[in-house]
Amino acid sequence: MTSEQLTGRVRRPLVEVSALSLSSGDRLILDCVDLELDENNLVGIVGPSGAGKTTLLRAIAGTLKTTAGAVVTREGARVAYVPQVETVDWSFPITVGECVLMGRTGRRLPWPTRADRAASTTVLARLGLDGLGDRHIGELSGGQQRRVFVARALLRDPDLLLLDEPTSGVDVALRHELLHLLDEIRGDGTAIVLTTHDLNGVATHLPRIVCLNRRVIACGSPAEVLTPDNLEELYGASMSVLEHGGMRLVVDSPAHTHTLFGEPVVLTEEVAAE
Amino acid sequence: MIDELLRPFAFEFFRNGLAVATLAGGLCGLVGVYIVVRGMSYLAHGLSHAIFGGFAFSSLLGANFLLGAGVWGVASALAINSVTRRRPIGADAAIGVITTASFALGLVLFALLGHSGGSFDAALFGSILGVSFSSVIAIACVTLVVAGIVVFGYRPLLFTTFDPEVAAASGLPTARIEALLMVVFAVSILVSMQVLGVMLIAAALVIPPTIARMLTHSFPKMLVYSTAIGAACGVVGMNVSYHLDIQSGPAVVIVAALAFLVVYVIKRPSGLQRVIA
Repeated sequence: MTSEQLTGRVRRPLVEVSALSLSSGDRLILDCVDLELDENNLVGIVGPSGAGKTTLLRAIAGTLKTTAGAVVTREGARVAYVPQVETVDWSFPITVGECVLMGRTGRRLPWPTRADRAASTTVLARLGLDGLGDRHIGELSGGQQRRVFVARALLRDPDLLLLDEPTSGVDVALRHELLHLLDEIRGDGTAIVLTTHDLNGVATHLPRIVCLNRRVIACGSPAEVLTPDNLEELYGASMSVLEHGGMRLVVDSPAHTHTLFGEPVVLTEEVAAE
Repeated sequence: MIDELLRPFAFEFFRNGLAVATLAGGLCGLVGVYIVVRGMSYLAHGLSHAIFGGFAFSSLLGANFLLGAGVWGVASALAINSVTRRRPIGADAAIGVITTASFALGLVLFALLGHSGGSFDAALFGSILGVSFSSVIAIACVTLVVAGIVVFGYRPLLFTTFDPEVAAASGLPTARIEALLMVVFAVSILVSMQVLGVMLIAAALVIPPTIARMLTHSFPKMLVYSTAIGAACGVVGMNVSYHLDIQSGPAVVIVAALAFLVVYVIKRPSGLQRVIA
């Protein structure tokens, strides 16, 4: 008997990334990445720019050819992807309602079924977008624009929801709103993976984070993972970790105080991460 | 007056030409939407020039025009598609290289063969004189098939056009859908070339969708408007062509351009005020 048959009865994880390597030309983008995801997981991928966060997300979505290793998604699992808002063509002639219905890839015809329409009404209402179905996507506020693409993803009734930088460029209130929404979606049994630059605003609030800089440097809860050693390896700069009311707060080390225009300046983690 | 307007309808060549121009206008308006929303207007221009190479080649071999130029056009379209998918070369550069080379080859072939008379002019600027009933049938079939693809593949086509990365992540075969679209573009240009001409067909692919875009924010409405505007420009342009005794291609394009101007002025309040002032 092969090992395949022996393990056949064991429930497979939703997604299993094993020894995944990926390169573009001569440049190695991901190096031997391992990751396992299951229902109700909410995982944040953190790391500096160019660390391969988006690439890993797309590899999990299954749209990239791997150089080595494999991404195995459980048979029949539905995957939904929310792109970075910066990559969306906001002048494209499409209304909110039409955009959301794209998520239903099972149907090919232009006009929605009654079930399509009911599902889209429910999702739009859930995300606070009710009544905006006939608006052009370019006429929405920043928060609404992000939610439209979450709505499109949710209309797929996904087992796995992937979000690329969902909180980039949003204010504190909107960030909280989005994190609450994601927690609620996770409560429905959907696994969620997101990428983020924001260690203090986002990563420390997540149950599990993966520190990625081409390879996985650390993986676990923020309390386990956000240590000065890991962070130095991740960003190549020394950082301090403070505890405040049970939460971790990452700050630049005092040793990294720079002078700018003759005044001492402490770089924030976000600036350093760029 | 009415008699004068109806007079050309007595001629079979005009009725055939009018049918082809209407269908070609509608067809180009429909597929042009997918070209314009992707910002690939240059593709329309390039692909028609590439097909000219195939036209020259098939007249050299004495082969059927639709077959020869068709194979050539589809091959160029797929070549552009595959070159574009390789990162270092952008779509505009790929189109520039492949299609101009093909156009140049067509010019060389015509020069060597000494064909610079009627068929050469007709290929460049369109003519209704050679439009037979079989041309009407050919373009009607292509229009029907393309309309079928747009309706029965509506959501996959829209998703791939709007957001190819996410469409792929959602399990759509985006590479095959893009290749299909390229073939649709090539075949549509091919059957419309006869009345509109190589040099002017880009206008039929770009102007109606651009007018439609100014009139609506909705994608399905844009498809319907653009098809209707394209067909209307075909009808009006053909009649103008007959009465002013000018080539059909320029007539259709001038009508479309005037329609664009009217909508542009109406849809831009500041523009209107400026024009009135």
